[in-house]
Amino acid sequence: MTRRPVSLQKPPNETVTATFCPLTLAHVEQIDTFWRAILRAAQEPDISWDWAYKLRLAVNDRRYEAYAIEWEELVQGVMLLETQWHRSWMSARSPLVYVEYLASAPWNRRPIEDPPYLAGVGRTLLLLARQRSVELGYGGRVGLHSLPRTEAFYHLKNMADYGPDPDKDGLVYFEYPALQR
Amino acid sequence: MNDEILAQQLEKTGNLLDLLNDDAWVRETEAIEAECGGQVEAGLGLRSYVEQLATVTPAAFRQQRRQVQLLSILLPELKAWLQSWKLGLSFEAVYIEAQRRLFEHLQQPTPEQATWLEALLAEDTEKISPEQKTVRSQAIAMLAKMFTEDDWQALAQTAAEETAKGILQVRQQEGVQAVVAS
Repeated sequence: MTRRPVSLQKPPNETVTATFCPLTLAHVEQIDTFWRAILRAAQEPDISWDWAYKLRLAVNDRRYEAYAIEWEELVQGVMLLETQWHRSWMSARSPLVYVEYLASAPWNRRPIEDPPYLAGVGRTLLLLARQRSVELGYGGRVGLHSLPRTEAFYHLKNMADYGPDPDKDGLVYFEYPALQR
Repeated sequence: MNDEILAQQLEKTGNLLDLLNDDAWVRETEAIEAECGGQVEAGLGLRSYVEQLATVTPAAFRQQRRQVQLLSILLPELKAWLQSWKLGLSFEAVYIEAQRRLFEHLQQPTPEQATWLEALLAEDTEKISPEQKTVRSQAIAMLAKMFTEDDWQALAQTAAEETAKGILQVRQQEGVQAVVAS
């Protein structure tokens, strides 16, 4: 997938054009430096940062597709998709796009910054995951494990709830079906 | 996500991303996001990171917000400056190193740098054209002064190592092609 422009909201009432693009090592480096700094500032003793390490590996792994949303040279959000091994939890076991990670930059998270620096980064990444699923011939099927405080969003977005998954520390699995065209 | 609307969008343009330009769809999605706390995140690997973020103080977030505003002004200037160096294959590595060095200086600016950075932020909030941004026009000169001798050495070292790596990769690729051809 090449670079694509995406419209995002910059509070209070500006619309900006960011870029959705394949993740590069420069992006991962920014995540490691700029995103992580907030935890270092808080002097968190055991920063769990395996996910950024996995992003670094995924850049060169054909099973994965990693993407960033970039604006003003800064990574505003990141998404890691697994596109070959995961199957639907519905009866047909059709292939789908599985969202390994979906994260907004700390300054774009509404619970922390209200209003966020840029709004809508997470939901835009989710839409991109569905578009990618369509492009791969999976019909728009997308699966993910929600973080606890995000479940309400996926419910309101009509994603099917398959309940807690013991293989993922009890995180709830959600899935979008294929789009009916 | 209303699948009916998404399916209609696919029929219409073949690209779901076009919905981001549909005001009604954006407003509806914004409302849903706000209603449930505004978080859209996924993945077991992120759980502990998100939990740790919850422990960060509002003061630390305000400080980070300020640095993000500075970076959003200075990174495009830094990139354009480095592009003018014509670094070729070593550009990305040098840019990464330069970003890291810049970020370190933003954490602990000298009094002169701190004054300039404040002026830069103040100017950014003014509704003026890019040509009128006199503080921003000093960015490259200020970055050049901000980088220490150690920084310049590190950038030069990175460029040299990346160029060498690139040349050796060419040798390796040519070697493979020669074996395949024979």
